[in-house]
Amino acid sequence: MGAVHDNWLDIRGHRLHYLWAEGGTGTPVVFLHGAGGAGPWFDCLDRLSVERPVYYPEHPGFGASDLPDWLETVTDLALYYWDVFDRLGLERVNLIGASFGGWLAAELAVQQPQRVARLVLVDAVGVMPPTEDAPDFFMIPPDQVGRWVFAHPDRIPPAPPPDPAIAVKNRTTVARFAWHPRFYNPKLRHWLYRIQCPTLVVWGREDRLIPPAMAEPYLAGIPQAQLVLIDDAGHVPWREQPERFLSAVRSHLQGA
Amino acid sequence: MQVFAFHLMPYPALPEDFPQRYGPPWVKLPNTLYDPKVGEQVYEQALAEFAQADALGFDGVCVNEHHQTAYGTMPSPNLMAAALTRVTQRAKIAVLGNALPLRGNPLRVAEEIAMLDVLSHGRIISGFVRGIGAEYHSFGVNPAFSHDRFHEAHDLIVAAWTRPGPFRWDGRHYQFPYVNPWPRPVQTPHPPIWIPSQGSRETIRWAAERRYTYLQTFSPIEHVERYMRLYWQVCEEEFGYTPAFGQLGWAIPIFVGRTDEEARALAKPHIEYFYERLLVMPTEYFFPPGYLSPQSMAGVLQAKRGLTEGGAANSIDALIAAGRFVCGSAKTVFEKLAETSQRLRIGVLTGMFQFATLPHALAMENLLRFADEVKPRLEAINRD
Repeated sequence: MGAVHDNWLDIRGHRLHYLWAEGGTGTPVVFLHGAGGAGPWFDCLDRLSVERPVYYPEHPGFGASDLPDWLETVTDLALYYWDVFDRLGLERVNLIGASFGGWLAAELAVQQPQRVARLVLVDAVGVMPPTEDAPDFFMIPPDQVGRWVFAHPDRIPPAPPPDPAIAVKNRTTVARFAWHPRFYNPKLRHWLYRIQCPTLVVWGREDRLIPPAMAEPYLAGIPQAQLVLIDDAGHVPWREQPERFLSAVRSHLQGA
Repeated sequence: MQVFAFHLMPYPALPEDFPQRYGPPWVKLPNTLYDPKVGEQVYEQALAEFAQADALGFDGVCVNEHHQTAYGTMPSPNLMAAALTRVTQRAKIAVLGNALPLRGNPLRVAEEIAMLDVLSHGRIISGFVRGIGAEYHSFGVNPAFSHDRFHEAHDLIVAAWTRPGPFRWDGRHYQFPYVNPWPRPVQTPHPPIWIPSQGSRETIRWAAERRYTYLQTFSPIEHVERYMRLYWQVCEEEFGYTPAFGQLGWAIPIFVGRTDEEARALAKPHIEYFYERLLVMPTEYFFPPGYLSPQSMAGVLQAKRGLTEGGAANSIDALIAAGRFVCGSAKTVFEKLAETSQRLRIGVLTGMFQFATLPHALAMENLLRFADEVKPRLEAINRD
């Protein structure tokens, strides 16, 4: 586990902000955040960085990163990320994508399957419309999102309120990419067969925001996919059950 | 002043407990509550009120666009405007307006407004709006591109009316190999364009630059005042001209009774229903992400401002005090409208004479009394 660095990239005139930590000699991990934005570095990233470098970028249009005006779809966003990986010198990566970031990770793995060593999709959107029992994300007042995200909101220590300007920026960027169709790319399921690497589909068993039924098209479409359900966890299992989450992810990344 | 009569065609027969059972009357209010037999009456009565306004010498009549709501049952203002070309003789017909980002194809708007202008012998006023936030939920249109699509659709429509066709259009959001609408509008260079808005500096600057009539809708008087002054100031300081009275418009519900007391007693349940039950929605409906500029949105979220304010603020006394409703005897109504219009140099008044559940008979009396006792005196002021 190394020091955490706070850096910027200039991608053809647009700034991208990322955190990263040096680690062992394994293939680097890139953790792709969800609709809520990146927020600070967190414990699971630290522990993953024992074996390999870990990168934690803020997507274009989120947090401190710029949004090139012409990026309009998650497919565009994924193409953009190959420039980011090229600039970081990441020839092959392990991708962990959470929620909205899972959609992005799946698109990346479809685009350049040979550059993805292992894929981890965590409570991921992207491949089918929300099930009937899922809430409409854009109808949830921002201060009530926590009730949908956690299996046990009462056990989560209160977080400091986000910077309102950043919260607005993140939500607007999410709308840009996910308002219509709502959180999925209708084409994506037809391309999942291209993903060659072993893929772990991790889901909080009690995820009410993106219910576990939404894992099915990923499991059906990706040739080497397996499901791990995490008990007592909702939409962000690395926060509610970090040990279970880490153990599943670590064993999946082993050898990569 | 020019005096117009505006109508939302609201649905008047919701169950008494609809807010408790279903929430706000936008987006998700089940359409099984809509009875087409009631709907027939709503349209018939509204058209009769418009015909009466025309006969009473109003300068114009106004329709607008709302989707999937009991607030206003007029998803296509152009259809209603077509009916109005048949039931009115002289009045201008103001479509306030087509919600451009919600329309898939702006050329249809260019065509339909041109059709209406021909059909009405040049009586059309073409309003353009973005649509209410809730309608981005209802229509699956991305609010993050709302401003962009509005501006490009506007540019395309004006070009379609004024540039000889056929020509190509290769925009960011719209591409057409042949823009060449038949018919072309009667009015030259095109029907007057009005911009109804709840107010923002960007919109005002945009409208002032183009000399479009800016219409402040259903707002507290302090907002009317702020934005009318801003429009005036932007015209003079940024664009170097003095706006005509006809460039400043004010949309407001109005009720005229024999006395102040009678007017208040008759209007009370209906105007309170309008503000308290129909024009109400949570912030997530009203301001979907991207609908406002980031600066405005951060302000809105911090102030927890939506159309969620209820209770005392929507009592008739509070509404009148805040200038969100003008109500009283003809004398009271005239004085209020004249004072505000003269102070703010407003030259267009679009009065809403039927609101929420106000019965047709009362709406007709309201129009009649306004036309007899208020309108002639208002017409004498702020004329271009």
